[in-house]
Amino acid sequence: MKLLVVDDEPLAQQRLQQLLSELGFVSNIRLANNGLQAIEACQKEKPDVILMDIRMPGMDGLEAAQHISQIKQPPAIIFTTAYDEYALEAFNVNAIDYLLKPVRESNLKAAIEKACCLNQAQLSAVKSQQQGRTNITAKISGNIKLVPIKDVVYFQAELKYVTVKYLNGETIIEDTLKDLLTEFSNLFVRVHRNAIVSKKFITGIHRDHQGHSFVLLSHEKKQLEISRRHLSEVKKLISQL
Amino acid sequence: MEKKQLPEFFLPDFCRIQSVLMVILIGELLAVIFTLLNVQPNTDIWQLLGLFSISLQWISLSSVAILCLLRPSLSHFKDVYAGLISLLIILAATFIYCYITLVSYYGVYFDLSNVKQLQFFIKNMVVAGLIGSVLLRYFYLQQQYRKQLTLESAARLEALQARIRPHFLFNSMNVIASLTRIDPRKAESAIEDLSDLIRTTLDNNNELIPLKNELENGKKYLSIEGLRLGERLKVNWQVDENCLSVLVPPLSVQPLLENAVYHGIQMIPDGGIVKVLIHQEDHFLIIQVVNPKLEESLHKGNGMALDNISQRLEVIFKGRANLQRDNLAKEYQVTMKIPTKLIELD
Repeated sequence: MKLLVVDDEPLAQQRLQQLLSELGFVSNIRLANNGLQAIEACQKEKPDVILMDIRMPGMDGLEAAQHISQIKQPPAIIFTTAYDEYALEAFNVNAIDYLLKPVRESNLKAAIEKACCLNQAQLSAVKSQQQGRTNITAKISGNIKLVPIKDVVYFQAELKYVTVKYLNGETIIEDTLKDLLTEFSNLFVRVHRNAIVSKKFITGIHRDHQGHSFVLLSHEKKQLEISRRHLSEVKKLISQL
Repeated sequence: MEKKQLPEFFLPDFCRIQSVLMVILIGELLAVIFTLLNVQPNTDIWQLLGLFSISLQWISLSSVAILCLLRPSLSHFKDVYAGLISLLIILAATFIYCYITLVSYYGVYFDLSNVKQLQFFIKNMVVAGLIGSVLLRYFYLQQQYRKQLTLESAARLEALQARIRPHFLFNSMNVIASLTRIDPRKAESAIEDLSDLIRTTLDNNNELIPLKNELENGKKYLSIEGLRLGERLKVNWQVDENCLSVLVPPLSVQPLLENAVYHGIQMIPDGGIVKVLIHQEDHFLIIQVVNPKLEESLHKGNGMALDNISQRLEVIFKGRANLQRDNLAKEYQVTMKIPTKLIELD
């Protein structure tokens, strides 16, 4: 069995390593320091079980778990935490496994024995209590690719998919515009039924001869049409900039 | 101990010049009132005022002088008895004054069987008794009010007493569990530091302590966090040595450091430096804690611990200390200003 220990604190990593080697998992332990490294290690090493801290810099454990669970045949995730009132409450409600630090050897053993994969419903129920994700996940042939939310210029719905246009390219994701707007309502604004745009990239409004309005974006040549319904909201936003 | 008990007693300290002035003022006010009530078309108003003034000042000042001398012994009695004794003192002073007036001013022999003399005595004693009881009652209520205020602010202070963050406690326990195998000596010193910190937090004593001791609390805290965060946590101390003896509330600097670690260093993958700058400026101690922060900090919960310190400073220093927060582009900066000279709080 391959194991991945994710924690930003060296001593916390060492302790889990010791306990695990006492339980007989000597050779198959990998380490990661934060959520991003955990996702990377997951794709490369394909661990069976992940022991992951919740509070970590960079990307926290809950968000990393959300991305990891989208991998084809995702590993089982057991959260470890010193104290997280709100997360623990949510874990209990959604039957998600967790261990309290300092972890007891017997608890660790039991958790690994019954470890099973988390499903999306469990995770989104927990995650909805926290702030929005820092990255969105694009699935490419079973693997996942992360797009930092701060690089996203706009999301546009086309036929069945949503296209994400970000600073270094574009890709297709499975989230819906409605969910994205709810999750990132403080960062994005809807300009049209089929498009939501990052507030920080908006530079102005362009009006053509036929009276259609378009939103002007920095780092992006394409102009997205603003529907009449959303025009006043966008204008108000620009006046605040 | 004697000195500490006295403020609990309801009679003000009449030996103090402020109290004496207050009594003279009240006496004069009463004299003016009596004069206006008694003035008749053919009397000289100034003579009347003089007469009332001298009587009232004589009675009140002599009562005050006796109360000043007897106050320490009076404070051992119950409030009711102390009040009654004070009233008797006022009545006695009035009686003596009336007697002296009778004998030396009117030049008659003291004889209570004389109806006029009896009326004179009874009238003056009743007036003095009524005014005396009203004043004593006033002092009593004022003292009750002050007592309640002190109790309230003590209760507020207790409620605001800094508490140990559960996160910190359990993370430290985890660190110690890990160290017991790797480095028992470090584990030992971590337990010692943690015990000292918990002891300080449990101690509800709000008496000010020298900055030096408070900085030691802070250093113990940072040494535990240093074990946990390793290389990520660095601290830069710039402390003016002359400030070390200035008195500060316990747990005033340590929570600032905790905030800097919790919301700053810990959130950054590569960590950073916490800067602690302490110097003195025009009778104020300036303590500045600066920590790097993430550019797009998602955590807005910085306020709680700082609000708590702010309120404690308010209760202790009554508006003469303050806590300022500056959310700069890449740093979060907290500046605490504490007066170095304590004024007598009334």
